[in-house]
Amino acid sequence: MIARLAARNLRRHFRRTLITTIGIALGTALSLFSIGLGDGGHLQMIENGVRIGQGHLTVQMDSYLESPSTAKFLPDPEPFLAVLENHPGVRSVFPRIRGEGMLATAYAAEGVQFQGIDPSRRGEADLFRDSIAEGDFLSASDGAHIFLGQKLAQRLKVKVGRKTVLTFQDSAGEITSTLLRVSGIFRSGSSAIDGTICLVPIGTLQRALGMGQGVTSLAIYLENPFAQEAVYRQLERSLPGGSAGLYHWQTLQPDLRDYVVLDDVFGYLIYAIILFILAIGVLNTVLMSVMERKREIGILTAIGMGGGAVLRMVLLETALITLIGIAGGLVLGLAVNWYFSVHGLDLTSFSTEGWDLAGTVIDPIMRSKLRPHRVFQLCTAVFLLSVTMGIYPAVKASRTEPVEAMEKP
Amino acid sequence: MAIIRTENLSRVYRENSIEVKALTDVNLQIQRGDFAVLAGPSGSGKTTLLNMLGALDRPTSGRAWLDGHEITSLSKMDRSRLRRDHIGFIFQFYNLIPVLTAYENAEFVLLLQGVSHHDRETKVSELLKKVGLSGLEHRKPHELSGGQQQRVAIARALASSPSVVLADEPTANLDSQTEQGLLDLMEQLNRDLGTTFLFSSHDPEVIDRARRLIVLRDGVVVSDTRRD
Ligand SMILES: Nc1ncnc2c1ncn2[C@@H]1O[C@H](COP(=O)(O)OP(=O)(O)O)[C@@H](O)[C@H]1O
Ligand SMILES: [Mg+2]
Repeated sequence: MIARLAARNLRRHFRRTLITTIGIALGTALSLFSIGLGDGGHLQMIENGVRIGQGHLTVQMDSYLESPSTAKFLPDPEPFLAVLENHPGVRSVFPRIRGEGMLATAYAAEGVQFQGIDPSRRGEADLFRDSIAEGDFLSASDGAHIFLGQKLAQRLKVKVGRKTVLTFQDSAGEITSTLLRVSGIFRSGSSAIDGTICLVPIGTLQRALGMGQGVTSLAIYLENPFAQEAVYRQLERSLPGGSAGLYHWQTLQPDLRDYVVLDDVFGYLIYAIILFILAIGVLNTVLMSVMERKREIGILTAIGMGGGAVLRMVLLETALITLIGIAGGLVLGLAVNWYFSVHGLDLTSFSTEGWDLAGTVIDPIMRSKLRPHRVFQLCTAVFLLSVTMGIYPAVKASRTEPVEAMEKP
Repeated sequence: MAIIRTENLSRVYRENSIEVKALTDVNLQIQRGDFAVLAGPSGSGKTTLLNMLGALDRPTSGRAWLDGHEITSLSKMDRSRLRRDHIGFIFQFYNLIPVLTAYENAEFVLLLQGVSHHDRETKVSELLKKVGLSGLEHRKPHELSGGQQQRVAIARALASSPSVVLADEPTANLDSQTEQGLLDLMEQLNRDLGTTFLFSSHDPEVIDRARRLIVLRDGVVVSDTRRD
């Protein structure tokens, strides 16, 4: 009966109900949209970040973290690879060597970050493979070749097929040089990356550095990035112990982590503002409808409807408006998210270059990614907040004194 | 035994330090099955007295009993329950719930009481027939005339088989023909069901129909007569 009264009351003021419902729906949809785009953008950033970096998880010597140096290498990666390659949550593992050195030509010399990679492994360095500007990617895993960024190539005035000399400290601390021929040039869009990074076959570096089968890191890419923590815990138990450890990308790329966290906080601030506006709207509607029906509630009280029942009636009205609004917001929000997850939001017109940030490359086309638990979180928050806004008007209505309410007009 | 009894019932309204003595030392007894009219000019205290007797408002001093319950000392919740189970109300203005149909308005108190669907249907259909509204059950109040609306209010007041029906100027907004019809109906229900009626009016045509006439002036009972 209370439900019937509540539903009829809402229908009677159809326009006001509709406006509030649309308000809740738009607020919900807008929040879903920004959550989807925010999460999607972060996911893209993190994915690109870990592709340039050392994977979702990384095996490296514990001492490497404090002061990176090719002297701190993992001499025998085989037992690690055996575990990692057989774990169902792991998509791929790439043995790598990372170090710093000097790359020189007849014209100039530049400080570089070199990465030894195995080009025969599928998916390795695909971010660089996909952005070839000239020439070819590295082919053999022990050829004397180098693949470098366009900015770096320009500064060194070097072209595809020409020779360069890479100079670095070997694992014993001796200064060593090795001659490498340019196989190709890439252009990622990030000037920081294009100006400092060069790729060299890992076998070539292992020989030049004198580290046998050793690597500085094993970059681990996961099937599901959201399962990072679970996979970490499983690997932690099954990997060989010793002086090498398993690390999160968050530890190795703190800039990226901080950026994502900060951006998340900013996102929450925006939802808080949207929810606040929404709450004010709900409070206003419910309060207005209760005050307008003062006489009516007076009659209901006079003929014996208790305060509790009046309270429930008003709360139910609030809940109904909210649920309808949330349902509408879900339909709209999911539709918009679906559109932007398929087509993406193209931001290329806002900037022509400089899509690099916190050690990652930002895709100029953002794709939204909405996970079910985020949708659930938001809907629960909207519902609880909205119904909370109904409490004050409901309590006010439940305290109606019939005599006062029904005084002459 | 009297169904309504008051003992030095007084009500003083205080507004901006001005005191209005709306009711002063009213001592009254209404017998079960009575058809009584509370008469008096506008402002004489009729509404105030009915509000006290209907447990809608509390007196400043004095006591009142309704069907054995000492209403002046009841808690808010107990007063609400007393109204639901023992009293039928007909108000002058704003009587019906606009979003409910005639049938649902009449049914409402039975729903509050938790009466079964079957019993509600029997009772409400019978009552609506008695008040002459068969066929109009599904109309909303705004689709009914003033007289028809008051008939729905009478049906609602009687639905819970109350000990007493309190009506505050129930015919004041109606034309005299509709008024007479409504009075006929209340008289007949009083006779058929034995329900006690106490209603207020300052209209001579209504006062004429009273079997018991109580006259108020400035909050004081100035005459109390039986006319059988
Ligand atoms: N809520 C109130 N506040 C102040 N004075 C009131 C209030 N209600 C009624 N009164 C005063 O009490 C007196 C009796 O009013 P009322 O019972 O409404 O008379 P009646 O119903 O006979 O017209 C009047 O003088 C009226 O002005
Ligand atoms: Mg009055």
